[in-house]
Amino acid sequence: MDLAAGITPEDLDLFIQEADEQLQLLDEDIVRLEKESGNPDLMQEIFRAAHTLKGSSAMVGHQRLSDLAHAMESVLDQVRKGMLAVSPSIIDALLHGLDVMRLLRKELDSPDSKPADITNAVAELSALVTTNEQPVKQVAEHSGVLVPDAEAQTRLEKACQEGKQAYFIKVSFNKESHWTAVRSFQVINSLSAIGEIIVSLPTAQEIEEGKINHLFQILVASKNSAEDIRELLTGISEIENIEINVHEKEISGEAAKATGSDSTVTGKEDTKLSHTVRVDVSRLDTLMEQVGELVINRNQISQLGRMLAEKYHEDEIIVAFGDSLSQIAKIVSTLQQDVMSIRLLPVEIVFSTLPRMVRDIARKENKKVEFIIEGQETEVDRSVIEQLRDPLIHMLRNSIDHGIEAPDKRRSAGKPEAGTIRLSAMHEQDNIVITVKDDGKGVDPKLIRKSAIDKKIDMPENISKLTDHEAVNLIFNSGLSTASEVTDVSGRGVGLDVVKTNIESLGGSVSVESVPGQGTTFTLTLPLTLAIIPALLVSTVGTICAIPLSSIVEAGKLDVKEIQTVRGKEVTLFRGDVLPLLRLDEVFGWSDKNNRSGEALHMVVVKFSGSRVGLVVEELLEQQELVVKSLDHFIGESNGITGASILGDGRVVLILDVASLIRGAITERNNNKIKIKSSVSRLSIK
Amino acid sequence: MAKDTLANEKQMVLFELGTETYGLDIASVHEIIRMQPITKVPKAPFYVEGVINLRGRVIPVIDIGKRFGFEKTEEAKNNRIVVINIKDTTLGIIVDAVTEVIRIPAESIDPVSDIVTSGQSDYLQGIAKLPEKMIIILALDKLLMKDAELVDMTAQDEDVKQEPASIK
Repeated sequence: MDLAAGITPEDLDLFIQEADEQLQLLDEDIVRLEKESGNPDLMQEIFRAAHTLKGSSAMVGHQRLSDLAHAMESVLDQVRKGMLAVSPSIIDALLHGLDVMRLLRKELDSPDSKPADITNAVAELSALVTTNEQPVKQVAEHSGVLVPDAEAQTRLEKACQEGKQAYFIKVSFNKESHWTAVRSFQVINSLSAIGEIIVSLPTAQEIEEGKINHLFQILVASKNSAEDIRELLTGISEIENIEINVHEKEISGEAAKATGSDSTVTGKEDTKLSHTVRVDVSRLDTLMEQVGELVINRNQISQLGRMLAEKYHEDEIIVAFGDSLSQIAKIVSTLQQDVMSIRLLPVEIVFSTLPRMVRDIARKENKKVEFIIEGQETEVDRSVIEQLRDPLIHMLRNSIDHGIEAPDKRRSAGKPEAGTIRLSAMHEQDNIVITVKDDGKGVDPKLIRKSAIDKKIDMPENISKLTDHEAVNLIFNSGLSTASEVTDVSGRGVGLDVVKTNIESLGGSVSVESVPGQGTTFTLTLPLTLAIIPALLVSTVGTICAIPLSSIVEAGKLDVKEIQTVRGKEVTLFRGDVLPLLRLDEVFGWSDKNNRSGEALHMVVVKFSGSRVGLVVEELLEQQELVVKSLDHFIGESNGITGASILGDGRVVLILDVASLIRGAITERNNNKIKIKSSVSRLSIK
Repeated sequence: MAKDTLANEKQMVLFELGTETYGLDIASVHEIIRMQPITKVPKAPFYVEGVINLRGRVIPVIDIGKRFGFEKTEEAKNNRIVVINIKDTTLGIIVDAVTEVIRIPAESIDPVSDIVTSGQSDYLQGIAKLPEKMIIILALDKLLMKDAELVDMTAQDEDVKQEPASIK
């Protein structure tokens, strides 16, 4: 693809960054527009985003992107002027255009890709533009709203620092006037005398070329008051109306998006430098890593300090050393917390991409859905944010596809035609709790039980014993889908089980509650960060391992006498239930059955996906916050280890992957069962 | 002039494994550290000794002696861990001793024949004939690639082993 000559990689990077933001903004806003068609601010924001995109893509020479943005802008302009009413087909066309724009944007990443074709999208958009007005390009544009570009913003900021006030002035000329160009220059001249003209629409040059109608907009910075300016302008003839507003600095779309939720902080202040800084994510990660090392080293030094203090406890220097050591320790702790909080991001980043998806699926399924988002300002660590998207998509799809009924069914059930899906996020202790609540038909425990028996999820007698709540939670089981027909969206019985496994492997949990006929609520709980986890340290054959607290039920002593065997497998009684035991050293192949020590052992009861297993270890050590480090992939996966961490003394500990340990144990147990069954059947054949 | 010498010479870190001398391109060597406690990792490939703490990073350490089918590298005072960077991976390899860093003229490096190495020449870039000794030059990127494949293969083996049980 061809770009304008003289474009540096930095320019391009900047463009790409900006384009991504504008595209995301458009994505969110266009979906919102469908519901809030009467919101002029929203309309303005969309128009501005399309306009910015058009300008900046033309600047870097991405002509097709610019053309498409122009087509979109024309439609938006008519919508804005009330010449076109917002309708699903308009939204569709705009979203379709947006999709093509994303393709065009992607071309910049992979220059070898086939250039995307914009003709369809442009035609679709142009078809919407009402032709009776013969929209002459320039005129249509000039009746737009004055939007200061980046250069104007800088000048504006500078002027404001000099103590000037920015005014946004709208001058309407008499409709009969044939001298609008002349009058405009008169306005420009009078204003130049008392202040600095930042930008005007049309520009002075355009006026010279005669491109002006009856509206002239000027952004001016002046030390004079609004009244002075009004007085000055009323002296010019053929002016019908003068509107003077103090121009408050708006945060341009990009700044607001980049910093996420902090728009409330910078808010509508006077024109000042932005209070936020853009930082590359990798820098934050490095910073986090460095601080992690600092914490480890601090622990080491503290330990040495204690040893010194024990050895020379009367020594003055050692006492002074101890004091400054505790100071440093405090500072490091604060630093660690601060860095952690920098890494926190509002869930809005993920949430904002969802309305579009919900709309698309609902349209496809011919369902009406009101999608409400709450608590998008709730913050979590980046590591968690990245893991949120897929589970949310699955759950929302499930709600639209299985939960919300078709409009006619809803009507006959006495519900409003449009179903409501409410996505909300909030903090609860050290967790983030996200719920997806719909007012659809709910999950019928009877159907689930029947389906579970048909699909042989478990023994029929076990399934019929389940409470309704337990039965409903069977929908997280793989291979169970209640949709009577397989649709494009869901219904293949995969999805919810994936959600459950993913969430649980992150140390979170997911559950569902449902009232038949009234709706379903999914609740998803995740730790605020995955970078630092609380864990219990245990030791076995001289090696220290860490078990994440999130998966621990209980830990305590285990007497060898309490261990019994069932079909050669060790079990024990735990709170009246038979609990399978796993000896950690044997699971890892570090020792074998034949030389088991008969000493006192310890057991850590861990849970995953409703199963419990007792991990047998030699000793329980202490509880600690661990900075999680990933292991290199070629060490081997699914070996019962999720990562490693470094202790205060520099030793490396392995963090156990409870999920894979339990899964391994279950597979083994099932295999044994099948073996026994098959031997029985062989007997009967004889 | 300077360019010529650069193009025709390779700077190598030499280390010993058993009775042989090996060479590693200095560009891939990150640093050389003393032996330190290694945390073993369960069910890792046989030649992976475990992981160590490299100033806050957890990196895997492999026994290159085991990898090439020699005897296990003896624990000795001169044992070193050579930390290398290959593509995006940092790992340590245990060697008997690091001897020196030398420049080897490119023309003295010969390709290896399969007969000499019994089919393992994939990991070798060539053999440098110097007046006093022969130096086996390792091609590390290939070594690691094979590692990844090996991990896959053992994983598949395990799957195959488990299969019959469930079929029964």
